[in-house]
Amino acid sequence: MYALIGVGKTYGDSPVLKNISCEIPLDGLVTIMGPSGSGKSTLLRLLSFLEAPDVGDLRLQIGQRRFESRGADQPWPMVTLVFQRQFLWPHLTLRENIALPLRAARRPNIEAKLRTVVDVFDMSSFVDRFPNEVSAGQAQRGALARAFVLDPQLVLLDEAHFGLDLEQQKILNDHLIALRDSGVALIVVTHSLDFARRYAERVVVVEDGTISEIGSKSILNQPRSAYLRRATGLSQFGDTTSPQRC
Amino acid sequence: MNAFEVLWQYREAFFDGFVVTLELLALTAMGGTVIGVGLEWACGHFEASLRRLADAIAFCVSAIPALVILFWFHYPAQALIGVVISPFWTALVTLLIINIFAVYRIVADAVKEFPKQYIATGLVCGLTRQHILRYIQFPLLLRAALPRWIDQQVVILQTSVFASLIGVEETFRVAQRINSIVYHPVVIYTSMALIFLATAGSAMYYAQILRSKFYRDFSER
Repeated sequence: MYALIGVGKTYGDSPVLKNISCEIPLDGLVTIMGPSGSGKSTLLRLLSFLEAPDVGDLRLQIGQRRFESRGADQPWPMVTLVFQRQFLWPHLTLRENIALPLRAARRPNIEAKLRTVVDVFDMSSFVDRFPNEVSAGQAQRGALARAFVLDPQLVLLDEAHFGLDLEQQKILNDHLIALRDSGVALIVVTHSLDFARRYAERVVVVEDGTISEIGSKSILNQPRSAYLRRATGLSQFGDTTSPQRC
Repeated sequence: MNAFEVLWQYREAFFDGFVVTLELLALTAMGGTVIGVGLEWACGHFEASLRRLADAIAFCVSAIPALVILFWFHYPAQALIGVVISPFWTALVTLLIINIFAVYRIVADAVKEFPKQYIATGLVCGLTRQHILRYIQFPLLLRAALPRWIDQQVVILQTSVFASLIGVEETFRVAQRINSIVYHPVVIYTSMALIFLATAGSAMYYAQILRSKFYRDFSER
């Protein structure tokens, strides 16, 4: 469970997040939605503890562990983040990308763990290639494998479907659902209503630097936030307006 | 008498001159690299005013011809402070200053262009700062900076011929002295060209190989 208490973040003179106070339960898969530039990625960076809020406090209770944005402890790799562009380390093969966190953590049976992860993400045909030698979907799977190799309890994904074709999106979705079903909590920034409708347990809507709506995925059917109403085809004047059809 | 015959006949003189050239190059390369990297580190860790100062000096040093700096150190600077320093050390200091600020710029550019997300990715994957420095930052920065660093040392090797103008007995000055004895300028300077082609040329070729090897196409597939 995340608790955000008056959280604000400013870059230069531009406030990106403004006085956010809410709780985000970590039950299954949570999607963060909102228009471009609304602060979704910044919120994700705060939730990953890569950045701290300028004002307010951010707390995370995961299992028996508690973390605070102003505390000394960091939740990595128990909590991890997959960027929109995967940022696989370009001088290492995908296998080495996945192995490095294991070696750094001095985990035993590294080769066995590698084999398991490669099998889970179906990477055996390209795991020894460099990141620039694989497709966007394969790179995304490599990034996911690297994120999951240390058995995190929470994974945050920033627009994980970006740049993937429909087939690759389906493969990614299948992996995400399998991971969710294995007990890993997921927070996914996405623009896909279809993804949220199918897979999300909870939806968070970010608009203009604040969380305008949060709830179970049923809010997608009767949205209150302006963004979701526009995105779902409901006008801001009433629910009875039919979605625009092409 | 062809170039190879000249090289063979005056091999001892050429060798002595080449050793002086290599001494200049080696000391300049080592000192410039250590101090240049240290300067970039200091600029990254201390006040921004230090970087502004370093950038300003680097700009001036790269804008002023090496020969002007060399002559300035050899004549007016020594007269101003009332000392006489050997031409070798004067040339060394000049080349060192040029190399320090060139290496500083090479490293600073590599650090500036380094995608910070690689570090963030390392952090969220549970790597410590030491692991990130050792396994991610250092190898990637080395790949980015090494070809330019080799090119810079080639420039230093070529610039070292100016040291002959203040009396340093390096390769070019030896060649001039031999020419004054045998007067075969075409052959002598062809010999010079061969020496530099073998040294600078092979270094440039190696830099090119590194560029090709380390080049990564990040475009989306």
